[in-house]
Amino acid sequence: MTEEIISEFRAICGVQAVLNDPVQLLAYECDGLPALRETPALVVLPGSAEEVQQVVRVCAREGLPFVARGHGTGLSGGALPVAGGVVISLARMNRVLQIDLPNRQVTIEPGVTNLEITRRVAPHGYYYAPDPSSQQVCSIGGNVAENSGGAHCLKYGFTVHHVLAVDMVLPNGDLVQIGSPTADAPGPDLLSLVIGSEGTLGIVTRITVRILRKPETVQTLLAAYDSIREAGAAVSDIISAGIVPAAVEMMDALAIRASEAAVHPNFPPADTILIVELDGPAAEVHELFVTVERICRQAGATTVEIAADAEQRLRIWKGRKAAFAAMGRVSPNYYVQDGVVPRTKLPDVLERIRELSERCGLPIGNVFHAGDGNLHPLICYDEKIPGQAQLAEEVAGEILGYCVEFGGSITGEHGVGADKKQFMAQMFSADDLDIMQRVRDAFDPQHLCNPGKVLPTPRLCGEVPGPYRQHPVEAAGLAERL
Amino acid sequence: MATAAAVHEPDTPEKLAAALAEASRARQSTLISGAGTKLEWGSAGGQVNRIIKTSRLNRIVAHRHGDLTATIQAGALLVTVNRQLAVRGQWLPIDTAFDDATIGGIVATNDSGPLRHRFGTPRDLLIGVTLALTDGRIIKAGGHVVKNVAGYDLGRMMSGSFGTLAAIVDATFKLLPVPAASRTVVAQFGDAAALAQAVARLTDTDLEPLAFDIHVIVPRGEYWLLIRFATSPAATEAQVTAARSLLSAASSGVVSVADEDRLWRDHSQDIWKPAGAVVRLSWLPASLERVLSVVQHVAAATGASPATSAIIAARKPAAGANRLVG
Repeated sequence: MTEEIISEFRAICGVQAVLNDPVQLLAYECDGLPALRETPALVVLPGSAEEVQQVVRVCAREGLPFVARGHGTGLSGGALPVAGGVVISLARMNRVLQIDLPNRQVTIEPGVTNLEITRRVAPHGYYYAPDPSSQQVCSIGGNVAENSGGAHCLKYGFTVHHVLAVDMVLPNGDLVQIGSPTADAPGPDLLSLVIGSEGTLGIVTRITVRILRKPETVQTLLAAYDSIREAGAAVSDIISAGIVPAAVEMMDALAIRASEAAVHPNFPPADTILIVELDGPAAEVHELFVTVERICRQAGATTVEIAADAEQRLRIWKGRKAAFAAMGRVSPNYYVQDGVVPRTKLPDVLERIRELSERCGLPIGNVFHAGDGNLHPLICYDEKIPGQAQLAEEVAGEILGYCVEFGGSITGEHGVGADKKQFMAQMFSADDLDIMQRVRDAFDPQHLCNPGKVLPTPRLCGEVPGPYRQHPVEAAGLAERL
Repeated sequence: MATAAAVHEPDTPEKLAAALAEASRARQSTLISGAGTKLEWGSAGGQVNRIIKTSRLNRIVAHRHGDLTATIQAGALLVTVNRQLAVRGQWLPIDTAFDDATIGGIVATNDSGPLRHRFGTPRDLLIGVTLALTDGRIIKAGGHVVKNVAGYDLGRMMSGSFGTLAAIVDATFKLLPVPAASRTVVAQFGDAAALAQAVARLTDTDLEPLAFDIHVIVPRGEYWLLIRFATSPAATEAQVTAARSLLSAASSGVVSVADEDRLWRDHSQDIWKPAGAVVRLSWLPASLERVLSVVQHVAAATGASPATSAIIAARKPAAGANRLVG
């Protein structure tokens, strides 16, 4: 990149907001998927939508590929830089622009963290519903890019159900408004296209979200089972009884052991634990919770613990949400997979995963959103043992094959990114992918906006997808994986 | 619409795609139609040479009741679909003012009714589509699972597209269990201010109605509030009681179970009965009183409107925005 172009970026964003020192660039070479790394030529940190526009216009004029980045917590390499390209970090755009309680809307910049929205409105009895496990640190702009979910999407949906409007800088630098704070915006639902497009169609600079009133009552129980089939039967019976819980989560023995070692949630030793949470008006929750408890016991629960207060409930959730990071306590390395199967196929696919684990010799822990069939197998390995990292990668890929075979998806919430684009062809036909490419071309005819993500391309030499590796910032003890 | 338009009624997805490709090759402008209940919505468009109707693609392809999902062909009628899903105690919680409305037409026009207060518009329940393109290809996006972020969401993009991008062959939806009980509270108010205050009062509670609409007939000075609760039996009654205590100043009543469906149907359909234009406005929830006063002003100034109705259908729960049809 020429000095002239660098100077131009400095003139747009300020000298301190343009990074090209090799040491500074290190922090940007990967996101939450450290196995995939690339060094960008430059990182710019614009402070406003106008600056984003100007930066993008320079990129478009010079043919420079650019990658938008929120807080770098993505798990599929969606914010992986392009060699020689520009990373546009939205970290400085972190203002809450408007809190409109009468209309239950909040307008924020993309660098605001997910949890910050809830923090700002909680004193008034409101919250922002999507709750990815990384919500303390992940950015709302990243949530829009990934259509992030969380533990409560069975009842409350995903980011796409809670975002009303965005301002987006198109790959040519134009700023457009998509969606509307009021309902029934005319025309095709472009907002749905943008949400979950993984930063390939533009850069969102302003987001209006819906906030919800905190439910009157929340009740949570934790049931222990001797087998996944019994726990699965409990979930089926709850749903057959016409109950849609706020959350239904499951963890297997290895995940329980890891979580106990890390955050001591006091989970019972069991083959499988099931967490069921109901929320809503008090009368409804109390009436339905009796049924849920009865079903859980009838399905063969060895113990049922009902959270007596908010503190106990938080402890259960802490144990669940810490499960990924906790794997580090029982295994030197692990690979987090994200796949989906129809809910009723969960016991079958988990049996296959157990067989696979025995066959390959790598322990696989399972943590999953049982209500919607979203599984997160955690494949344990030791990269110091030659060939294990490679094996873990193959095992992770094989599990995605099971998901597709059972009629599911290769990703429920972590995105395709750079990590899974090769698997897209297992789920979609060449024609399906061709039309997606045409949509992408309509937004980004120059192929500069987060290129190499989502849609399959020939694999690059030396590209190693996926396993967990410690991020340099983690290694230095400066950050902890959540 | 041209009166001489040729009508095609393909009975397989392949024939639908072939008809589109043929029309495209022949440079024939084509209208993709379901039951045709909303043909005058939006701009009328230009000359149409051909009409492709989805009426013979009307099957439920799969009802995966254990997974709470169903794949439904575009030409199936919503009412028929819901009758079949009810066998398993489930429903697709979408409503429309039009009894003949098809699934494809509802998605393409993003049609919705009072249920959107709780469940959102059709796009909020849509999880996958099969589409026929004008080049004759059949493609899919999304899938059969409720949680899925693989690839672009071309399905939801169809909502509001009015058949301008592709023909919907089938759509896959997330379903819900039919609530065990359902009760509707109706209250009448003397003026717009009292109605708006009641709406604000009810919004600011822990009540979670299934539907929460207003029905205003300006020339008659009628200001109605309609709230439907539907969940487990005891919880439904508890919410009805709580809502009525908040409405004590007005004359409120609980609709009998037998009359409930008819009440909501009449409420949605009344707007479409009188001759004349229907105007759809969107506004922020807190502006209700101001919007009502504008509607009154317009009605008084024109004197043309025999009945003006307004629907509030805020998206879940009582946020998002509203629709007024008057």
